Amino acid sequence: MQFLQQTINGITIGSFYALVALGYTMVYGVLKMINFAHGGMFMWGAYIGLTVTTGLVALVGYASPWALVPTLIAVMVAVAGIGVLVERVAYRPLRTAGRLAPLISALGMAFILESLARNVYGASWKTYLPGLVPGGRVALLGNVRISVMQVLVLLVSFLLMALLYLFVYRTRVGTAMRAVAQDHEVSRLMGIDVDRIIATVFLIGPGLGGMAGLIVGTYYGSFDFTLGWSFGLRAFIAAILGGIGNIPGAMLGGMLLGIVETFAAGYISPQWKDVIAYVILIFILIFRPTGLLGERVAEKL
Amino acid sequence: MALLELRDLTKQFGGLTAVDHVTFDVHEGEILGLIGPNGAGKTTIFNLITGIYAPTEGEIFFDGKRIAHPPLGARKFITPVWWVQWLPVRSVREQWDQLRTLRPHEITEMGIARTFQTIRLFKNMTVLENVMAGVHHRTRAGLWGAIFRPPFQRREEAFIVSEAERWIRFMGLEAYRDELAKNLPYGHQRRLEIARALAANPRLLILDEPAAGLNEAETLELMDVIRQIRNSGITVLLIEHDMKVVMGICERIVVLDYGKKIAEGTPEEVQRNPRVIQAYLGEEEV
Amino acid sequence: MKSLQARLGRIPPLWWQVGLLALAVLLPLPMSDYYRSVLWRTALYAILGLSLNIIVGYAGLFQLGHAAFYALGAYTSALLNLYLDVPLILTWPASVLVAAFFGYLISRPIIHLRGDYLCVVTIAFGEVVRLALVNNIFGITGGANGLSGIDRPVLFGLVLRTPLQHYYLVLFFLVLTLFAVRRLENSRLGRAWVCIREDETAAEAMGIDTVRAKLLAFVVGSAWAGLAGALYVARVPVVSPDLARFIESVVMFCIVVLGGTGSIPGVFVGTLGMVTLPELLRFLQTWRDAWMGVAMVVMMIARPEGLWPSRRVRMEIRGEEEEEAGFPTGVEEDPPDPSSDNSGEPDFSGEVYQLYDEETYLITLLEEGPRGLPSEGDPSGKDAV
Repeated sequence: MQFLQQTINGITIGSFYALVALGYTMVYGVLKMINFAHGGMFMWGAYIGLTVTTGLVALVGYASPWALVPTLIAVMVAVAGIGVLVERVAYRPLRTAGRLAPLISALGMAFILESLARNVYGASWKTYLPGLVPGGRVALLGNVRISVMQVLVLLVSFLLMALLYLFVYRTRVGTAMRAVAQDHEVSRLMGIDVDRIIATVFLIGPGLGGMAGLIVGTYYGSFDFTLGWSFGLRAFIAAILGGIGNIPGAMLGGMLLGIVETFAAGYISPQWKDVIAYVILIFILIFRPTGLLGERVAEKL
Repeated sequence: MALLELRDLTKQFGGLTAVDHVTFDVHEGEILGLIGPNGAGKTTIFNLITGIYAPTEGEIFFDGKRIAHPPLGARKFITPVWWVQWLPVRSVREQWDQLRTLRPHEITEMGIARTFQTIRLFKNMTVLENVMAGVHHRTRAGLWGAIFRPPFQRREEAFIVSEAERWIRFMGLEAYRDELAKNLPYGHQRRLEIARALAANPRLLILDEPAAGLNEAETLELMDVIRQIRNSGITVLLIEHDMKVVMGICERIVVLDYGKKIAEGTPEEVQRNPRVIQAYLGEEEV
Repeated sequence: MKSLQARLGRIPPLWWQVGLLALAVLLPLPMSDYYRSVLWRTALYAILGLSLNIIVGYAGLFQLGHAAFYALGAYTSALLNLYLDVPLILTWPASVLVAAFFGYLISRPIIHLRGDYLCVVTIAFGEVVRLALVNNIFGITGGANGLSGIDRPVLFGLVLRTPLQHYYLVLFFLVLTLFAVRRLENSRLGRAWVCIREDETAAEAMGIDTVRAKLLAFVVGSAWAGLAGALYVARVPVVSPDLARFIESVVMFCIVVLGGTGSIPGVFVGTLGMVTLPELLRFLQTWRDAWMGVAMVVMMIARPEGLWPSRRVRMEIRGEEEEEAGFPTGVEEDPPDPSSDNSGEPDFSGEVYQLYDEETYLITLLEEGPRGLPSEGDPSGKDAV
C-alpha cells in the first residue's frame, strides 16, 4: 500500500522534473549548451504566479482554484519572454564562441535571475493563498489516496508533454527544430531561420519551465529564492538521466528521478534524497554519459 | 625483419568497414607510401597504428611487439572487471595490460610518432614549446622536480631545449623559434608538426598528407626533408595525394581502395597495375 | 641563450617583486582591523584562485566544485583539533593530504569527461560533499551548524589572534604558492598541462600521458585548496557546510576565468573583482550575486580572454600587431581551403576524434576495451564511402 502511495507521489514530483527537464534538454539539443539559467526562469514562474494570483484574488475578492487558469497562461507568457530575453542578451552573442563562454554566461544569468528574485521579493519564504489550491482527496484502493491537486497536476503535465511531443515530431517548426539540433549550417542552407528556431526553443522551454514553477509553488504551497537552483539542478539531472537532447528521454528521466527520490525519502532517509539524486547523476555520467535513451545520436531533440 | 607489421587489420564503424583485412609490412629504413582514393581507409589505418582506435580484427606488431589487437570479447569479459586496473597490485595491473590495447602515448614512447592530416599544433604555444612537447616522454621530472628544481631537473630542461632546438634547425625554423605556432605561415606549420614528431625520437615517422596545401617550391623542399629524415635512420610511412611526391620519394607503395589493399610494390609496378588505374579513373568519373 | 633572455624578460625585475611584497607587508599597517580582515580574505582567495588555476587554467578542466576541497581541508583541520587535540599547525599537512586524497578519488573515474560534462559532475560532487556535511555524516561534522570551539594556532609559542597576524600567515603561504606555481608554469609538467588544454589528441600523440597529467593537476589543485581551508579555520574557529556552497565554487571559478585563464596576475585581478570589491561594498550584499552574474555575462561577451590574460594570449595580440607590420603569415601564402582541398578520406577523422575526446570515451572503454568507437556511433562519413 505504502509502495503504491509512494509511486503516485513519485510520479507527481517526477512530472515536475520532466517539465523542467524538457527546457534543459531542448536548449541542449539546439545549442549544445547547459542552460544553467533555466532553474532561475522556473523559479520566476513561481514568483510571477504568486504576484498574479495575489492580484487576481485582490481584484475578485475571494480565492478560487479557477484563478489558476489565467495565471497559468500569464506565467507562461511572462517566463517565455524572460527566456527569449536571456537568449538574446546572454547567449546569442556567444553562438560561435566555443563551449566555455556560453557556460559561464549561463551561470552568470542564473545568478542574475536568482539575485533579482531575492531583491524584488525578499529572502523570506513565500506562500500561495490557501484557497487557491483545490482541496480534497480521492481514495483509490483502500488506504491509497490521491489528492485532487495531484490529479490536476498530473493531467496538466501530461497534457503539456503530449502537446510538446506532437509539436516537435508532427509540425513543420518541430521538424525544423530537429534539423537545427543536427546541424546549424546545413539547416541554414536548407532555408531554415536558425535564429528564429532557437528563439522558439527559448519560448517553449522557459514557458513550460515557468508553468512548472507555478505548479510546484502551488503544490508545495511555499518556496523561496533557492527553489530555482535546487530544483533546477535536479531537473537537469533528470535530463541527463534520460539522455540530454532527447525529448522523450527528459520525460522518462524526470519520472524516474521523481520516483527514485520519493522512494529514497520514504525507505532510506529524507535527508539523503538529494544526495541520491547527485549520486545517480555521477554514476550516469561515469558509466553511460549518453543517458538512458541517448544512444541514438541521430534522434537528438 | 619488418619494423611494422599489419596483419589482417580490420576496422568497422557500425556497419561500415573502413579497413578490410589489410596486411602489409614496413621495412626498417624505407619510405613507404600509402595511397588510395578518398575514403579508402588510409587515415583510419594511421589511427589504428597510433592507438587512437582499436582494430575490430587483426593485429599490429612494431619491432616484434604487439601494439594493437582487438579488445578481447570486451562486452562479456572485461566489463565486469575493468576496475581492477585501479588496484594497487602490480601483478593484477600487468594482467590488465595484457588485455587492454595500448594508449596513444605508450605507442609514441615505443618509437612511433605522427603528424595529422588537419594540422594539430598547440596553437597558442611558441614554436620552441611545441617541439619541446615532443621531448616530453623522454624526460622524467614531475611535480617535485618542477618546484624544487634539483640539478637533474635543470639538466633535463637544458636537454629538452637543446633537443628541441636541434629539430627546429633541422626543419629550418630557427627564425620562428619564439613565434606562436598559429602565427606561422601554413607551410611552416606543416614543418613544425614534423619537427615536433621528430623530437619524440621515433624509429617510425608517420606523415599524414604532409604536402597538402603546400606550393610547388615547398613541396620540393619537403621531399628533400623526408629523404634526409630517412637517411638519418628513421623509417617513414606516409599518406599523400600528390603523386609527384609519392612517386618521387617512396621506395614502395601500398594502394588501398574501399578499405582493401589492391596493390603493393614499387612506384613503377603500382603505376602499371590495372586495378590501381581503375580505382583512380573510376573516382574521376564521379 | 636567447631563450634564457626571453625567459628573463618575462619575469618582472627583482625590484618589482620586492616592491610588491613590501607593499603587501606594509599595506595593512595603517589600516583598521576591518580592512585587515578584507586583506586576509583577499589573500586567502588568491591562494584558492591559484590552486584552481592549476586545474582550470593550465590543464583546462572545468572544475566547478572546488569549494568542496576547501571545506574538506577546513573540516579535517577542525576535526583533528576537536577530537584528537592535535595542535592546529600540525593539522595543516593532514588537510592537504585529505584534500589530495579526495581529489584523486573523485577525479579518477571522471578524468576522461570533458567540457560541460566534467563541469556538471564536479558540481554534483561538490553538492554531495556539502550535503554529507549538512547531514552530519558519521555523526562528527555537527550538521548544518558545523563545528565550533576550535583552538587558535600557536606558532613558536605565539598564539595567533589578531587579523594582522592572520593576514601575515596567509600572506606567507600565498608567497609560497606563488613561488611554486611560477616554477610549475615553466616546467615540463606545466607545459604538458598547457599542451593538453590546447589539443588533447595531439598531446597524447606526442607521448604525454594525458590521464596522469590531468590527475596530477586535479590532485595538486585540490590539495592546495585543502590548505586554504585549514588557513580559514586558523582565523575563524567555526566551520560550517556553507564553506562548500556552490556559490563559493563559482566565486573561485570566476576568479580564474574572469581574471584570465592560466594567468597568475589574472588571479589577483579576479580576486579583487570577485572578493575584495563585494566585501568593501558590503551594503550591497544582497546584490553581490547579481553583480557576479553581470560580470560573468558581460565579460564573456566583451572580453572572453579575461581581464589580465596570460602571457600566451598577450603574445597572440602582439603577433597580430606584427602581422599588420608586414610579418609573413599564412594568409599571404595561399592558405589551404579545407573545402577545396580534396585530399584524404571522407573526413570522419574529425568526427571520430571528437567522439573519442568526449563523453563516449568511457562507454567505449567499457564496451570495447580502452580504444575504439562505440558501435552505435556511426561516423557521418558513412554515405560518403
